[in-house]
Amino acid sequence: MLRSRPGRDARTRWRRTPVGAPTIVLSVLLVGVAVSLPGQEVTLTVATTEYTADWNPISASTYPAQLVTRLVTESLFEKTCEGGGSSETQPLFANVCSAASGVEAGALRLRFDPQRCPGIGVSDVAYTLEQIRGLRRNEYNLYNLALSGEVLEVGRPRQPDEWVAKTAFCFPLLRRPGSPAPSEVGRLFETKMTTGTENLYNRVTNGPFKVEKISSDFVNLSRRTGTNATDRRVDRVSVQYYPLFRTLQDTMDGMNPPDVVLSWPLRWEVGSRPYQPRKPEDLGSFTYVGFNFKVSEPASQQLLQLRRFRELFTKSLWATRTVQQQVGGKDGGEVGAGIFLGESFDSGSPAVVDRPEEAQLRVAVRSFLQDEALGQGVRLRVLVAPGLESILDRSDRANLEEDLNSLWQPEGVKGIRFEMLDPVGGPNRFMADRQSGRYPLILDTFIHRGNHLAYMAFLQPGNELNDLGVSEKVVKGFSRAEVGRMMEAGPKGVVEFLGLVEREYPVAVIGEFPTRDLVSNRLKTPGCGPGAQPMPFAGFETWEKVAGDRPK
Amino acid sequence: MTGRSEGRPPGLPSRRWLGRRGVAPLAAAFLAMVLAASIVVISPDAHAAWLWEALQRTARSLAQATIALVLFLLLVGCLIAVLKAMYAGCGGLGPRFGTAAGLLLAVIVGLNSAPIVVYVQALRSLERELGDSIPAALPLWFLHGASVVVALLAANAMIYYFFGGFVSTLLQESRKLYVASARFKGSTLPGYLAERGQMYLLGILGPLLVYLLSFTVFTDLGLKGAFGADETGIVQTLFQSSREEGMSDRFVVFLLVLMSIVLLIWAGLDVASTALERRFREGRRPTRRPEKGGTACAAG
Amino acid sequence: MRGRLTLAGLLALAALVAVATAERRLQATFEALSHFEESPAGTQEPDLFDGAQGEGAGTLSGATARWRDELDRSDGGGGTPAGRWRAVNGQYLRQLGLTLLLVVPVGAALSLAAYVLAAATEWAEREGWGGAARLLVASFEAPPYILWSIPFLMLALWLRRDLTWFEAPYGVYLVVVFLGFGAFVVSMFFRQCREQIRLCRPLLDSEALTGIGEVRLFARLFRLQITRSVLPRQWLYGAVFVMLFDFSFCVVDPPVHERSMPLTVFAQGYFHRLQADDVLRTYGPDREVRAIADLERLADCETLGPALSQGTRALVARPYLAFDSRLTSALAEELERALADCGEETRGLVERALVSIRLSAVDQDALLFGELSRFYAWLNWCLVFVPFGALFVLFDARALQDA
Repeated sequence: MLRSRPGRDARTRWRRTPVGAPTIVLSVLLVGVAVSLPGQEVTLTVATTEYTADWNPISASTYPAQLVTRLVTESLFEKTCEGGGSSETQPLFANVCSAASGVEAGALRLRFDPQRCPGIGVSDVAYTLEQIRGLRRNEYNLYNLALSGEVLEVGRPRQPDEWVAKTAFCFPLLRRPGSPAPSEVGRLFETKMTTGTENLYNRVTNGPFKVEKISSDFVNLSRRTGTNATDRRVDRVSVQYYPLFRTLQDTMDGMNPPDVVLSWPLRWEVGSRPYQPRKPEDLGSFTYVGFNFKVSEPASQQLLQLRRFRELFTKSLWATRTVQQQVGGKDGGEVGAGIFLGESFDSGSPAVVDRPEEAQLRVAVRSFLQDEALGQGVRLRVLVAPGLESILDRSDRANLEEDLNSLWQPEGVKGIRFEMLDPVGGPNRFMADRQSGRYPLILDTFIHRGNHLAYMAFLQPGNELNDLGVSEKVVKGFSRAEVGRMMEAGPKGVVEFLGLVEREYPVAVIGEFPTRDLVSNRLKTPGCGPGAQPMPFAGFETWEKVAGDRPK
Repeated sequence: MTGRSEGRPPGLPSRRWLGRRGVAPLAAAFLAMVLAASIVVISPDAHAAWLWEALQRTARSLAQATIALVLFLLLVGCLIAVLKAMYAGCGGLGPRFGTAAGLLLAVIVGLNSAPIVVYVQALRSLERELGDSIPAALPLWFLHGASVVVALLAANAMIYYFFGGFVSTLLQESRKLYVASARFKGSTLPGYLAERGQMYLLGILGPLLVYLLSFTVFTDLGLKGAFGADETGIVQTLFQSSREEGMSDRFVVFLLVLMSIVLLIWAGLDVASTALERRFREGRRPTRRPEKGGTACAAG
Repeated sequence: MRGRLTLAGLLALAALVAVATAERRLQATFEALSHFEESPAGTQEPDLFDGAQGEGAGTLSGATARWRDELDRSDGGGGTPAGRWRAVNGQYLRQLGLTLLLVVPVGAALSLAAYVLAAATEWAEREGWGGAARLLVASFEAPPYILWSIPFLMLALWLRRDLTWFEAPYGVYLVVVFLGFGAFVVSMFFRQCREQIRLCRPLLDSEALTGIGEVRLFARLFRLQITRSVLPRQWLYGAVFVMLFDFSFCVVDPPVHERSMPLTVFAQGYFHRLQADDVLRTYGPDREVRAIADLERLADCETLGPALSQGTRALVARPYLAFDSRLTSALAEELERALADCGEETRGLVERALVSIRLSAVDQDALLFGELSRFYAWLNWCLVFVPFGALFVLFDARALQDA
């Protein structure tokens, strides 16, 4: 028992006073604050709604994966600006690893810049080409790049102009890993790059950034060589995946908005948010509904092989309100900012067509259905590709489906029912479904980057890019030899090919929807000449971030 | 909401099994870990880092669920204190108690008829509205954690199920003879009920934790990016993985790691509750505090 | 008994108030919208808004127009606000019927499944396989219950996508998904059934002596005991829980619901919200106020300033009433009077802005779908609240009244 002496009393009284929850909480908070005080590092956050399961640089299947590849690898050249300047149509290229910039007839003598890309050599280029060739669907395979001695050549098309050649030479450069090389590195293109493969990734690349951590829904990069602490240049990059657009929007309006947002849906306003939209002009793509001629169901097969059906379907797509709002009138839409191509693949040479009025189309569709006398309700399911969310989001697709059904199910006639199936399961599952023959229609985007060879290969029978099964049997004029001839025939061949597409409707082209990324106003990025547009991530390593308190 | 063994894992509480009750979950946890490790070793795509990532995410979700659990218990404590104030002090729990409990539960029914996502979105718009007025000294991780934990309390019908079950159990028990006769034994009704209440709460800790863990799906989905947070928990990762990649190795490994942690927790809870149960039954008598100032009830 | 009646009355009152409020708001919306339909043509988007030119003068987007046509047709070609309101309610009731048709059997199935599991466990224990049975059950209970919905979701998707030779009714897919949601509660139901069976052990033992088989024994127990004490509550609770889950997922991202098929009320609410968000995101959420804020910068007019600030305050303070035509026309009148002293340019700008205040097609869309999604949200809350309240009053409040 305690004696009651004054001094002791006071001490015991103090000891008996409970230290108390408030004190503890306060000290925890203080510690937390100390711990969370921002360091000197500048982090840039990139937000995306596209899920990436595999971050392999050679087989980058999603846009975020392409961004990471671009940041972590080197290349010979880099496209910096588009349009403007002295030559309106020629984009400007910058040297990255290549010391030489002269390209003669599609051939480049390899000379490297040891300052920018230390230690790189011809064997690295050879190693990269090996890996690229190992992955057959790789876009760079289109060019048939070949290395003979120290000369890198574009194999197809023969004798390309400088623009095409330099575009071809923008492929990501890998570094040949030193010996003894582990077995997995031999077939890098087959390795799935997920959590745990960071070391491997960094070993075969040598770009401005290296991979710190790959996780299921984010990737963290950090600069390979340190920057000055007083620099405002970006030290770390964090690519975050948001499953829902709504949460992404909430985050953009919240306390810590991301600095870059990838694939911001075209129709959505940026509003008063502090972002600049960036439209890469030369991505060159078209969104289409493909006719899957490999479909197993005979009724659908028969229908797809009718040219008249394909024509009417394509025109009815153009007549729907949804597409019209997205793609706009003949001069291009304001709201959707899509580009109407007609039945053509190239925005450089769109097909000039008159879009029929909906009333006329109804009559035509009705008479077609009556003539065909289809059996019990034919159901055509449309498989939607993942990654189309930014072009045709869920409500657009719902409206599109309604519009199509109202057109193709007139009263008193056995019509066709269309069903849009939302993407589930990521790009791999989509590829598998696409090739399985279960779905007669496929809604997807084909990216050709302005390379006509790409979209011609897309429809060449026997080509690995042609997974819709287009062939002479089902669409007139598309035989392997014919298309091959057109591919070799230069601009004339292209014109001929596009004419064929316009007549035969092998796929139903909706239009071109260039993606749009949002870049925060707090970022200082290199500019371009008057009237020129900077390419989305050109010169990323020089980007600066204006620091601030909690943003907004 | 019925029955006295509500919340206890199935198993006879007889003495024979007391020592072995924790064994099965422990063994299963070990098995799951071994399986996960072997998948990592065998499968060409899998990496050991997956195990670590799964552990981190599980730890995160578990931490959130545990703190929410503590908050829930505090909430229950407050509500019980309120109800206790309504206790008539004599005879049964009294009509005032019944009325108060009835009204309270009715309000809870109303609140629980809105799913958790409604509350999550409310928090999100709160973040937007408050924005600049939040003092900069408050670290963002704390704010995020707080909003997750508060949102978890709104898990679908959770409060009604567990708190309602608690009240119902207490009421049923209060009608039993040994409790009703408390004041004749020099103690009080609440004193006797306290033991039963503690047993009940201990019994529901496991299911409640798992319940809360399940609902981290919605908080992770809805609060991603709120206050700058970018990490998701294990359950949402599993859902995402199954949706985007199907039944991949990654999904299985993550699931097995989660299972082993959860089974460990079940084992721990088993052991703790068994030990406490034994203490209640065999040895230590819980204090059944007599009411201050003596029982002022009329005799009979 | 009286206590329970009072409780029931209170809960019913709350539900009625919620429903009445929602209905009143919907009616008001349709009335407000009908004013603007009278003068659709000639309303042009002013230059004050950058770029968002929309579909054209006065016409609504295809979805809204079609939706209205459908409504009018179902109402009998009325096209009146009251008619539309009736049609919306009719649609809600139809979908409500469909939802209940799906959810009620699911609730029963869940309860039945829990009983079957409990009975099987009991039987296994009697036969001496108690350890194995308990292990199995523990493994079923151990993972976070929500994970049980994953295999059901995958099954539903497989049925929907990968079976081309067989098209089951759409309801089957939904039932599978709902069973997945309901698997959450099977564990808890299982414990209750186990408890009930344990309480009835003496009964079981004595019945077993009569020599009837195991299956009949448990079936008899089910019929005599479970259906009276445990089943109704579990059924109701299961149904409520499944609805809560569908509600949850439909606020974020419904897994299987598709637009063209008949929907549950929760999914319909989701699609209306999508439409509302779509409009707002496309054209920006605060155009009305922005128009007036721009006008405030016009300084060359003394009379305009005060009129504007008053009007702005009115509109900003009660944004819902901004769409009330009477308020906006009063504001318009006031502004026009104030304009009398102003210059040409100011007059032009203000007139163009006034037109936009009269609610462009886009804003009508936003208003309509926003109100519809709010209407559905409230009624869905009631849809969950009523059976939940019934569950409370009928089963759980019984314990309270004896206190």
